[in-house]
Amino acid sequence: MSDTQLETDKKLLTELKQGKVEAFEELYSRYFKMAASFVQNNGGSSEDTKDIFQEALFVLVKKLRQPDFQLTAKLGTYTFSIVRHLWLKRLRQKGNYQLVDQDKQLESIPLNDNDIEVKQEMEHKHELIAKTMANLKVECRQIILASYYEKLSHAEIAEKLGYAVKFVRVKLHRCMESLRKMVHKHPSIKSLN
Amino acid sequence: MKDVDYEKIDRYLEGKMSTEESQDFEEKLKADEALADALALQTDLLKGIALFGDQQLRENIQQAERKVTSGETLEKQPKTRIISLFSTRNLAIAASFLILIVAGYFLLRPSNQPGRLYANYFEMDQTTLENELENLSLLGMGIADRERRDQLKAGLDLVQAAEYDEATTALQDHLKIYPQDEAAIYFLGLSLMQINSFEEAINVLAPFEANKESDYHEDALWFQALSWLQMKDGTDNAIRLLQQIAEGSGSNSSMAATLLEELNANK
Repeated sequence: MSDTQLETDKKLLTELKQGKVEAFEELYSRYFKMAASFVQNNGGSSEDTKDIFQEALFVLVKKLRQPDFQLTAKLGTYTFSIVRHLWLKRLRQKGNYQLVDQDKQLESIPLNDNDIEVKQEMEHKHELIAKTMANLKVECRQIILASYYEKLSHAEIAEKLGYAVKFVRVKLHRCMESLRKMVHKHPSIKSLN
Repeated sequence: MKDVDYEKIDRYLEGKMSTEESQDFEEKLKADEALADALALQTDLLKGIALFGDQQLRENIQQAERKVTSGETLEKQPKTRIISLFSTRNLAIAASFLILIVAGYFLLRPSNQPGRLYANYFEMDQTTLENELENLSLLGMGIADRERRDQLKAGLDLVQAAEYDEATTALQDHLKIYPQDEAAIYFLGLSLMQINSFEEAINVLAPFEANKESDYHEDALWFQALSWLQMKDGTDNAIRLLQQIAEGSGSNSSMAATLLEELNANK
């Protein structure tokens, strides 16, 4: 791989970690055809390809964001390996649907009605919190996501969002206070507590 | 709640404490109900944030796919070798699968799409707010309605400080005395949106729809449309208002056109 190519990939990886649309577009133009060829030559449709490729990019970003993760293969090779893994997994699930699912279902069935209710309530509460997040100011959403979702340090957030490092701590604190306040006052969340 | 050390809670949740510190923290949890409540809340918040982050990430990936596929169709992929080997029975299975996929799409597609669009488009009208505050602070001498201005400024300061509950109360009190104050009505509507009182926000902003002479006319329509997106079965009303904005030449017209496209694409 040439130095220029390495540099381009390095930039692309950074943008992927940030979840940038442009970076995903780049991956679509580079590797989607390769994924389509594999999925469709192995019994999948073009819809399956879209579905699997979307999931693969989601998994890729999640992997890249893991603190101890180091990409040792080429980006294309690694992306293809995720596509391959996801598609073969789906094929296995289709082929052994009853066997696989029965086992998994038995494991995951909650013990009683109360457990089911508690689980559903928790999920509902988290959905409402996610919805509340959507109502925060843009800069608050950005800083909270950068810190708690992308797990960036204050220095990295400062660089990404163009703030002073000291300001990040204060701003993050204020934004989390706003979120707490909104969640506290949300009538539907209140009723779940 | 104000005394809770959330940075410490974060360190505990992220496993960054030493064993000793962690044990000490757990002892405190047993004795301090407020700390235990704060820990439970923070745990829920982090799960909600992760869920929101995942939704955003998927949305970005889908956006990229839409962009790429609008330029070139992904349907033009190499034909599969397997398809030619399909027997009639297999084709029937494939057809059933296709029906399931289509049915699944309509049954399982995100029901909160308008809500996510709302999140992408809603932002406090900081420009108008700052202009209003500047005007209110500039004119200080010989003003007949000094009291009105001071009271309005107090309300808008609360909006500026993102204290939306307090701002709502202050602006409502202000409007009891000065019911025609358009700046107060407009920012009351926006503050209500910030505290998720969308129905009330729509009612408050509604008079601007008929008042085409008002400086707030188009902006109020925009925020009303966004509020409708947060209402059950409110999409049609949102579309009606967005069409009005998009057909005009105001500052929100291009944004309204884009939002309309997205809403129609998700229908």
